[in-house]
Amino acid sequence: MTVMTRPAPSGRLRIAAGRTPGQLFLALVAVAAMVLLSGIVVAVAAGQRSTLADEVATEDGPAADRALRLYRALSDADATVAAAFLATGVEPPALRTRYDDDIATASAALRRAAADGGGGPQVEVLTAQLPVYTGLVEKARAYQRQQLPLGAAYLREASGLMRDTLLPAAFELSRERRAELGADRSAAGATQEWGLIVLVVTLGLLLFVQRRLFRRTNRVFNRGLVAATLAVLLTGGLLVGGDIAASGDLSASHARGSFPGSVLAQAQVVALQARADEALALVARGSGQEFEKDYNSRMAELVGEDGKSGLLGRAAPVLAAADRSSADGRVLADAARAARDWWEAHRRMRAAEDEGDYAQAVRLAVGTDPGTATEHFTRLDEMLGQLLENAQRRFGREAAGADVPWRFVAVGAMLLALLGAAGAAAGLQQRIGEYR
Amino acid sequence: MRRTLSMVLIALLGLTACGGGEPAPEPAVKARLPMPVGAHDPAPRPSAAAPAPGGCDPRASLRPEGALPAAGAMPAGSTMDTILKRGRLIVASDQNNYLFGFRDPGSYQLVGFDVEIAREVARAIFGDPDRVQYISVPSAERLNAVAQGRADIAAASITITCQRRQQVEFSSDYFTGAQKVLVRKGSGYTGMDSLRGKKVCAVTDTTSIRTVFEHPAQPLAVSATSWTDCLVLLQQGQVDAISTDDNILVGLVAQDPHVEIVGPALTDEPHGLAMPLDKPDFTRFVNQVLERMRADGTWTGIYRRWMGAYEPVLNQKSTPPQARYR
Repeated sequence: MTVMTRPAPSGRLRIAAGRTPGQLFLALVAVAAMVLLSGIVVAVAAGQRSTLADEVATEDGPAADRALRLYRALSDADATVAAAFLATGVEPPALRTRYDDDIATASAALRRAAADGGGGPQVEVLTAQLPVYTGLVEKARAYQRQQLPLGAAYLREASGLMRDTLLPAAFELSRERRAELGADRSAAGATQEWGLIVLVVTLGLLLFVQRRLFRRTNRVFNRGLVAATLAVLLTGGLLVGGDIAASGDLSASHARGSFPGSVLAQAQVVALQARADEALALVARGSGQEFEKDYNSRMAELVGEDGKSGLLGRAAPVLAAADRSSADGRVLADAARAARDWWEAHRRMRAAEDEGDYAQAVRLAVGTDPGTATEHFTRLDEMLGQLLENAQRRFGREAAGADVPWRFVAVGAMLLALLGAAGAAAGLQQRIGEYR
Repeated sequence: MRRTLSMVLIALLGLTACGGGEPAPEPAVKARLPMPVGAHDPAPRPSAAAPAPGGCDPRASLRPEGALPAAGAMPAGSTMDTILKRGRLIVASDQNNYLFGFRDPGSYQLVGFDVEIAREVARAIFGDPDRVQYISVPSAERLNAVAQGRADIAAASITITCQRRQQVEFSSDYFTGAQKVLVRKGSGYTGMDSLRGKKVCAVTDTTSIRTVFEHPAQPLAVSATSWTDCLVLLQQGQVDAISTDDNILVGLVAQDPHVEIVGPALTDEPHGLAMPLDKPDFTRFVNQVLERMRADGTWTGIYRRWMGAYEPVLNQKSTPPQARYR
């Protein structure tokens, strides 16, 4: 034993002897209990954080993705059906398939959204109005097949329902899901005040008991109590470390995944709506000024009047921070170029229609030759989709690890608490033994 | 006292528990019908009618002078000569007026009654009816396009009014329409008089919706942004009738065999081609082309092609309207 001692008047020891074993026993129970309690508090809180972090990765994130997919599928349906309307004769099978897939995707996403819970009013509006929308589209198609202008009227009504009712509900649902994700993410990364308070109290109690013992026995260190103190300090270290590790993962999942994802998704939806405007302006045959105005303001929102700002301009620094390889940044620059080319092709299309060359305007808008609006739009849409997928993958990767530190903290805190309590008990038991 | 109270409470609790045990009937869900974008029920009341300039005969146009020049040989310095040298006639047209001016969805070609009239003007200038460029302008902009020189002529079922005469020159009447009422077959409505308190659709800011508002039977006006939107409302059961010029109504009848035109003429609607006020030589030329079309059967041929099937319900029959000059 290498316990350091200090010479003390032997008389004092004798005087205290009558009361001390009882007091020491009480101290033993209190200290061991506090050490155990602090470990349990920390472990339980860490367990909750780990569950939350797991939810962020496996429930909130995917639910937010699904809501986004619903929003995107509906916008795509709107744009696709309008473009298909411009084709001569029967609509092209590729566009028909794309629309059908959009509706199937939206229905599946809607079913899952209902199962995910929350978003009640939005889900209700969407489930009630989606069949009405598809009904109007089919009516429009039936008239279009008979080459009657009434088809375009039903198409306009369908598109109005989509834009005024369905898309706002889907947008709201997606916003709610993102808010849930954000709330759970900050809860999972929140500092554990209670754990820290209990640890500090336990540490205080340990120091107090050790100081009293020192006064009584003049022995500076008691091995058991020192071990218990170390255990409590280690638990504290574990807690802070776990906090840093988990919130690091979680904020990385936001900065590298969900945040760039939401910016990119917004850009993609704006592009889809501009595409629908472009086609609807032509479907309206000379009375599509509202759609034309809409198209231009959406393109300005997307790339800015200067072609360098807008949503895509704002996404550049976000992606630069999110993707270390800067490969995404290059894709984004290409996407911005595609958007500018598209706007340019649209202007040529507009000039053709204004001059009465309707066939040429349609060719420029929905034809598949190089240099048409279709080509640039498709390129833009595909690149944004690819960037969005990358962001979602990064989110999954970062968020998936966030529950691990907390699990480590929970197990570690329990082990340390057991060790600390055992140490405290052993140390005090030794002192009690000295009185026998 | 306290015991009775608690017993009552227990009894009440028992009752509510029983009530909760039975499944409550699901409330009936009512469908929410979609509406065309921009439709309003009720329609906003149009601002007070602009007073028509008095003492004007809307039909009186400029009298043709001399013989019609041969195609391709227009008098030097004339408006027609400028058009001839340019190589094409610029026409402000309607692309949404079924049977009169609309894009054939199969070929994107602009076709219809008005379009053929415009092509006859091109034939008279160039000897080739294909030398036409149609510019796409919204209906509210058609007269401006002519007045500002962006188009040589507007051929878009424009009703001749004294008020519009202050902005453009009109040709002689080439199609006499009349505002009537379109209803579902078998609905029992016989005209505007039988539509008291019923919903009648018309396009926002037209003379037609004004007529609906001012009719003594006091129908309830519903507005939409296009006539096909009105037909959508009629098919969806959200209005009982549509009222406007019969030449527009006939385009709706052609798209839905379950509707019919009923009732007496509510208004007299002469239709003319519109030309710039400062090019009277062109108006005289166009009137001469119309005279020739009336005389040689061209007009009747065009009428039969587009309107033949609907002659019984139209105000305009297959005999062309007589021109009046001032």
